[in-house]
Amino acid sequence: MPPADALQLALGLSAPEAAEADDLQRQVSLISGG
Amino acid sequence: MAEARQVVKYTFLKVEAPVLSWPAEEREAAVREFTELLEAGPTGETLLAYSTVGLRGDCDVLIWQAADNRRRHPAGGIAVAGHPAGAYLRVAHSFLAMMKPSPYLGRHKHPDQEGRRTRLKPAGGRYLFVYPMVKKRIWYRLPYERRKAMMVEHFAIGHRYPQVKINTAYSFGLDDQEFVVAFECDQPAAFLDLVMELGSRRRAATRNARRRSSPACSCRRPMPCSSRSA
Repeated sequence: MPPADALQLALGLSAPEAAEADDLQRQVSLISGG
Repeated sequence: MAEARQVVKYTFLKVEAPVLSWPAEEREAAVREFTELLEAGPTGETLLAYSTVGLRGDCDVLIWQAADNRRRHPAGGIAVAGHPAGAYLRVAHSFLAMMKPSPYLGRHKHPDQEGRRTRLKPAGGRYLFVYPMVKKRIWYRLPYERRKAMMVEHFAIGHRYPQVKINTAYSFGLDDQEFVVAFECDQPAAFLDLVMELGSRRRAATRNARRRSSPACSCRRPMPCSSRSA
């Protein structure tokens, strides 16, 4: 992934696609509001 | 001539909290500055980014770099200080290491063997679990053959988890820790099972041989991101 994507996520400019994510990703998305 | 060893750098960055209240345009400008910062820094064969958002509170982004020691290397990592990005990013953790063949492999060989590599070859796993490690002095007081036997057992357990790729780099004298280990995998459960098995099989002589193995940083490569208007 382009390095900028990680910062976009940290800055709240993007959110992970929780619906397609695995269990841990989904948990993290719920916790972090993504 | 021996193959050149790569220098490996793990730089964990934290976004300063006030930035999160900036208007979206200013945060987008910050992303562009960050990209420029990376492009202006040392070049290398590996430049990967992972997110720790939601996984750790003390950092948000990991930049994983590796480069040939003879070329421009990432020993200095990302020069946040002095760059406009330094106003909103701080280095939370920084681990410097070098690739090096393991002294315990002997004649045991197989393709792309972990422990023989002098160059980092990330597998592109969905998750990356990174921690620095320092072993207790008792480990180094054991005879070499005994340490080797235990490490061979360690390798054999690792072979039972082919879905987990381990990347070990050495930091002796370069940084506070002795090793930096980074496990790549798509399923965190496999990594957890591997670490538990390694811990339970460790022989009495090396039980708790680790003096330090923190911070243990769980990182992930984001799925394709959806835009969030804010």
